[in-house]
Amino acid sequence: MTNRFPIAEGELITQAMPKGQAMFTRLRKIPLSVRIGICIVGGLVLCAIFAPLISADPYQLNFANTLSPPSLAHLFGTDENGRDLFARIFLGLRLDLLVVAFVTYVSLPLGLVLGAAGAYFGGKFDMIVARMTDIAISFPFIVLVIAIVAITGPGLKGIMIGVPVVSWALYARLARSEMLIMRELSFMEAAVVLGFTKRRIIFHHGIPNLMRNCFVYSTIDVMGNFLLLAGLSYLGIGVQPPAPELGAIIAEGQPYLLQAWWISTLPGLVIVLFGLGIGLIGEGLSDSELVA
Amino acid sequence: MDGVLLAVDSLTKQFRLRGSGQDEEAGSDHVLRAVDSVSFNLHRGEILGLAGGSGSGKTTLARCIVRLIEPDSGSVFLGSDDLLKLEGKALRLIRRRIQMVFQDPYSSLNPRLTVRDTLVEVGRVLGDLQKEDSKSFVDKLLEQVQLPKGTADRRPRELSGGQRQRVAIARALAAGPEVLIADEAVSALDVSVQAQLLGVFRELREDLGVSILFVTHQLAVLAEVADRVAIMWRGQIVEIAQTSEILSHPQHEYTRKLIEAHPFSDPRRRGEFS
Amino acid sequence: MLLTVEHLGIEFGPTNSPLVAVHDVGFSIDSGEVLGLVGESGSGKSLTSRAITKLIGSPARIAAGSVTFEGRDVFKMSPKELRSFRASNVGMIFQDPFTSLNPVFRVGAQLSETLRLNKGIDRKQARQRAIRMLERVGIPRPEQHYLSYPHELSGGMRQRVMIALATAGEPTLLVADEPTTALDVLTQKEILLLLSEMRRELGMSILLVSHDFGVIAQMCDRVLVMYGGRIVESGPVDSIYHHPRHPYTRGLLASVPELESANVFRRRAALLGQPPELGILRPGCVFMSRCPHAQSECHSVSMELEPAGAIHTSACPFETTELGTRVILAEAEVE
Repeated sequence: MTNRFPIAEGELITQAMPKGQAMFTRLRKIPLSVRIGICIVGGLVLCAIFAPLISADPYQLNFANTLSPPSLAHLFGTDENGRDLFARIFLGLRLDLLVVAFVTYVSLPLGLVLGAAGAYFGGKFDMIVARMTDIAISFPFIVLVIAIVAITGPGLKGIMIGVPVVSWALYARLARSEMLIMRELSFMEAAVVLGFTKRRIIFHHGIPNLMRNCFVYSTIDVMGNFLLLAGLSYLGIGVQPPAPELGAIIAEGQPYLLQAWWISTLPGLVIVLFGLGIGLIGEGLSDSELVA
Repeated sequence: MDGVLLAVDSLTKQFRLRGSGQDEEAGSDHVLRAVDSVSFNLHRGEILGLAGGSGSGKTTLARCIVRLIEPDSGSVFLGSDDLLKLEGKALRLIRRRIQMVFQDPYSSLNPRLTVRDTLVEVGRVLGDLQKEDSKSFVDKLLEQVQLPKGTADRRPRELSGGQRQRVAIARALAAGPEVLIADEAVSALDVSVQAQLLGVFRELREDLGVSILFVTHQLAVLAEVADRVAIMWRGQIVEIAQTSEILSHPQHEYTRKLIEAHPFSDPRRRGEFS
Repeated sequence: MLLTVEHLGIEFGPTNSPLVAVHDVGFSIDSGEVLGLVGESGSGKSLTSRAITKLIGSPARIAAGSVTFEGRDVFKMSPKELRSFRASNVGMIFQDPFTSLNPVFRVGAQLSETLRLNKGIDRKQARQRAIRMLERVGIPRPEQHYLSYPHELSGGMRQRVMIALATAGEPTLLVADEPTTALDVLTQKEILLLLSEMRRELGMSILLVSHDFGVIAQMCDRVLVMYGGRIVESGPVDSIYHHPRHPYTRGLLASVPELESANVFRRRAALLGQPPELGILRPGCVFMSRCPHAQSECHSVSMELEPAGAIHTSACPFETTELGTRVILAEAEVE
């Protein structure tokens, strides 16, 4: 605090911190749970990226060494075809992450913009957006995706089309309800009085302030989509062999559950771990002030 | 004080009410005439006060003038242009000439933008502020609202209520307006801070020649800043005169009641309160 | 003395480095007296008023002091005694009646429930009494409004219901925390009048908390000026207005808008800066950073009210120029 008195008119309450220090202070405020979450997810992502460098070829069949338990040569053991499980699992994770990220982060901006714009414009446009949102949300999601897969045939295409068709609606609903409140705030009204275009008001003033809740929700969505992908692959209608995918590997290991528990269990653990990490991040985000 | 800058003529706004409650202040059952054919002029360089109790329509009137609410009929002439008849780009252009400062300091600024960002945006979008000029642009605005230069890099959450209101005023000034409407702009502030802000408004009129329409429910605040005062009651202006004249010789019953209800700070001037 | 508060302290945050909201506040209220607590944000006046009925909840806590009511120590009461105390000895009304009235219950029901619980009368009698009370506080068509929900009533009417609720137990002390701040000036006058009438009728004392010195001046016998959690001046309201001794009081009075200024005076703001935020306890005068007369000795001011035992006391030990508010007004630039 200043030693000078009396305080001059309009004197600032806090000392300004140099920019770098301000960032560092904000980083230090990240709660422990979020840090753990970031470590977990970060660790898994790194493994997914670098897996092929440190492990054997995931497609290499080796019938001499089938169903062998975890060892130094094969960190996670081998499957019924002698393929290195570590390599398969993390290659599978990489695929899962890419698909899930794509699907989630295509739905998010789509829903965000439609919901925010609808709420801001109001009238017929809003009514259409709101009804579309309601319809999309009330769909039995998995049934729809399976139906699309039935049309496109098994494989990733079905999921990559089917999920965004419905997923955007959840973000739209979130963004819409927040925008309905936000548009009454004085700074939004000031933007109107200043003569800013509606486009500027929605995109430059409204949406940046709405993003936080959508991002927090996206962590739940990521996990949901992950499980959907793994689940469908487990059922055999998602990712097709020989491409590795966590759910598919679990299915493959099922007959060998008693002899080679690692084939089904380890991918499952990876899924759980990922879910834990994402969940911790999401909860931390919703509590903290990090996302401005 | 010269010619007429803002001429409001027969401005009307009504609301449909769905089934009135047992609220004794509401108007008739189905239609509430919030603004009932209001006309007045704001002169160049003048500070005109607009006073009234809750439900008087003063806030609705202010918002109708800037078209935050669309009035049903009437005209709002700023110079020779009728604000109510313009649309699209023409409307956005004329909006620069009449700006508003709002009541709540805590929602009046975009929380994600620094003060600098907020002010520069106005300069860039409404004028053609160039990068090299932006620093002096911001500095000059902050000076006009008596904030130190360092405020420019702060975010709203680092500022107090009074400081935020000053930034809100600076933002309005960045548009280069001829008219400023203060909608209960000091009502949410501590009284010692309020006095400072009133000083800022007076200096804006003196130094920049900005004409101000000052909307408030507190007559005493208008006594401190306004040249003339208009009293609103049930959607109509019932009296309008020089401030000292209205306070010493009120003509309308409602004005008299407002004055009698004012709690004097001097305990020797006890009214009928106890 | 009806009520005595001594060395009251209210804090937030960690106990080893607390954020002090109220520090060393002491005062007393006599029977039938109206005491005012005036201050801006951060002054601690609201918290002080709530401490009287021990209505301090987490994250705030009572860190020190005592409240004695009719000889009984309020902080030492058992939960049962406290409930009875709140029901029949002290009534409290707040700024926003909308959040103090339960929005899902009709107002009449809330009133008669209070009566039944505290007076032990039956449903029918309670209803009749409730209707009479609604009438007493000036609500028109009381049988009809008995059935109203809070949102169906105007701000002024809700406040009247609040007053009825607070006085249902015929308390000897009424604590009113900014009762008219959310109301327009005409309704404010009606409510203040009502409070005065009820005070005379029930022989109550009132502790009136407000940031508006006008309200204090019209209603109170004595006033305490609070700043940054401390009392900076205390005395009869006339003496405080005409002979303010603490620089903050003078600055505050000079900042209050007056009808007299119209087209005559253009006052410069008397106080620069803004009221302090919640912080740790610092030595010296709490007003130092804004005081136009500040000097290095202010760092060691004890904030004790002086002269001890006098009727009009101030926490500023220095003899700054003796100015009444009227003189301040006259000094302003004349148009």
